[in-house]
Amino acid sequence: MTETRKIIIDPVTRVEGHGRVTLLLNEANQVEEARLHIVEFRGFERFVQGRPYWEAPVIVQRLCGICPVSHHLCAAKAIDEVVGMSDATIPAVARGMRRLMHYGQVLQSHALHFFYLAAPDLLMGLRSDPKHRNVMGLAEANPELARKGILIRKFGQEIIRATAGKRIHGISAVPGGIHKNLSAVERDFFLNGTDVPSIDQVIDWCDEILQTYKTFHKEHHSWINHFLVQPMSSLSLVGADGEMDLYHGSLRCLSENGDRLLDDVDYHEYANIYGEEVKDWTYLKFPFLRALGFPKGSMRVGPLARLNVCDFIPTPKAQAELEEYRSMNGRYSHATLNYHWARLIEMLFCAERIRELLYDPTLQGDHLIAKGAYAPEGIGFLEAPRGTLIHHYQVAESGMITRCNLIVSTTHNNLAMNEAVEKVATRLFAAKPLAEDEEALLNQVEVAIRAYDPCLSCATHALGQMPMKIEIQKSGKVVREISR
Amino acid sequence: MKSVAKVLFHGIGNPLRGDDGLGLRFIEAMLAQSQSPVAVADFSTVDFHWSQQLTVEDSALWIEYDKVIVVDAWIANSESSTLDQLEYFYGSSEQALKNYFGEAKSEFGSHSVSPWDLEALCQKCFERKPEIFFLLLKSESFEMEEGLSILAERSLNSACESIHLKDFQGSLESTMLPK
Repeated sequence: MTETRKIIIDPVTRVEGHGRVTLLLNEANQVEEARLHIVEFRGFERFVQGRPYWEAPVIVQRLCGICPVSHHLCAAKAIDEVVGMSDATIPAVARGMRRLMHYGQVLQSHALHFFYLAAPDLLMGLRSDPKHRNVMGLAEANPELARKGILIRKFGQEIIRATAGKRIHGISAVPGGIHKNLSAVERDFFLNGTDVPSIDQVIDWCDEILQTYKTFHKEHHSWINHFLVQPMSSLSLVGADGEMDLYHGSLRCLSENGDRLLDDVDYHEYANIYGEEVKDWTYLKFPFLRALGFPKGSMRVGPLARLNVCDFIPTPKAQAELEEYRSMNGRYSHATLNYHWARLIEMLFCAERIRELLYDPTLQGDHLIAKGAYAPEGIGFLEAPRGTLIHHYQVAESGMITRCNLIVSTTHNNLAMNEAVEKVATRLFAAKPLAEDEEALLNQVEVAIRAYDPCLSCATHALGQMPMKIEIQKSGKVVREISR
Repeated sequence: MKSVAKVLFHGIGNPLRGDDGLGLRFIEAMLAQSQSPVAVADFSTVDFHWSQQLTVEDSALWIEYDKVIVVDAWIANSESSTLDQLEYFYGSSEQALKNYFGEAKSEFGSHSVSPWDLEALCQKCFERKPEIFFLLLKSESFEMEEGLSILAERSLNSACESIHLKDFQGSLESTMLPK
């Protein structure tokens, strides 16, 4: 009988739970299988059943403390349809306020990810002491960069506060509209740079950070381009002209070569398009395109996928960056670490969009809510920071929710993340005997996961020393533990 | 003329977890005092802020002040002998704080940061930092419930009655106030 060994990378030491990685090795220390387990069961699809429809945008945002705005707005878009409205028919003030809130959300979430989670790995190096590989270490090594990161995130949070009422778990998006506008005082808060950096300053900083990243990329392009290459399909919403649109649009999916697998499809058709594979070792499903089946129909979402999918970015600075990015990486990039570069371009895009909205007098209007005829079903899509997010509700005439289906961004990336862990681990174990380079194993598996979604990496809730543990099991018995 | 320190009271804790809401309750009490028509102190250089936890972005807030007083609930531990004699603790004595916090260590995440790390971030990123003091209010339970225990109410009232704004605005020394 062939003996196998199991390595468990288990960061689940915090309240929120999150992920765990298992590597199954054979006698020759080759990786036979890698699994990213999502061991946390949230149950929100059941929580909202029997609740009145107008509670959905408030309840479901509790899914996440990092991107509650995305769930709040996606649910609001779906519930708009239950009250007979749509993105096109809600009042212009509501549409603008929601977009402003969303761009603030993406800006702050991307800033959190890059400056607090990813930059310490990238700029300080995977071989640096884990005790210093965090935002504190970054502040020591590059205080100017850390300061800008902190202030950009704070700016995004303040945009959320001004539009949602609170920095976290705001409640302003309501069925058919929004319950507040942006006052002139609130607008000026973001323009004059007295209490927070001005939006012009934020745009300049996003631009500067991109230049810094490009310098880093030039110096490390070989590692970035070869660390992890995953040719896969890319999915995102796009606007009517094929432009990047993080808030609303049609579904486009491109194959690894750019062939259109979904050609700007109305997202209300998603149930006919999507299938979901279930595995008994994780609560996270594996969405795929029915036409291609599983696993071939799996796709990636998020910043890198969005840059692959869109034809252009409709703001000047971000478009210029997109062109340079494509000149360096090709029209369709599959280097997973390019998620970071893509994220920075999206930060710049969001900042430019925020500026446009701050100067839009529509947002000081008073017509906030509109309602039409009841409909029994509502579907909302948007591009959350980590990718395409889907909320789908069925509502009885009594107003009570009878069914809810949520497909979150990270779910779309499930197969890609599992594949990422397997590829990185396979390479490491091929190069060196088991656990000879323990820190490299811990680091590189983390880096691979982190490129996708900090909500599932242990880094999300522990920027300092990672609560990582690897158990090596032989014939069901723990023979060695690696931890830090 | 001696300048008056610009002071921030930063209450932390979750009011849905019983006595953990003491930070918020203290801030609410002080805010009520500051808005009272018969306020006996000058609150013009004092601000109040509450959050469930300290976060990295609070560094950009803290640098605006000369002194930051972190107001938090503390569950009495029979092994921390000195602090157990008090209904509340105010000061910055490192040894005394260790009795409450344990060793000051770098342990933080995207949702929370220790006061020491926040202080260090202020210095490293913004090249200025406030003096950090702690007002720790004695409590007994952080279970999922609203409202304070009798012990926590007593601690809150005692702190509100005994602490005068001038204690925070003046030249502050590390102080331990007996019950």
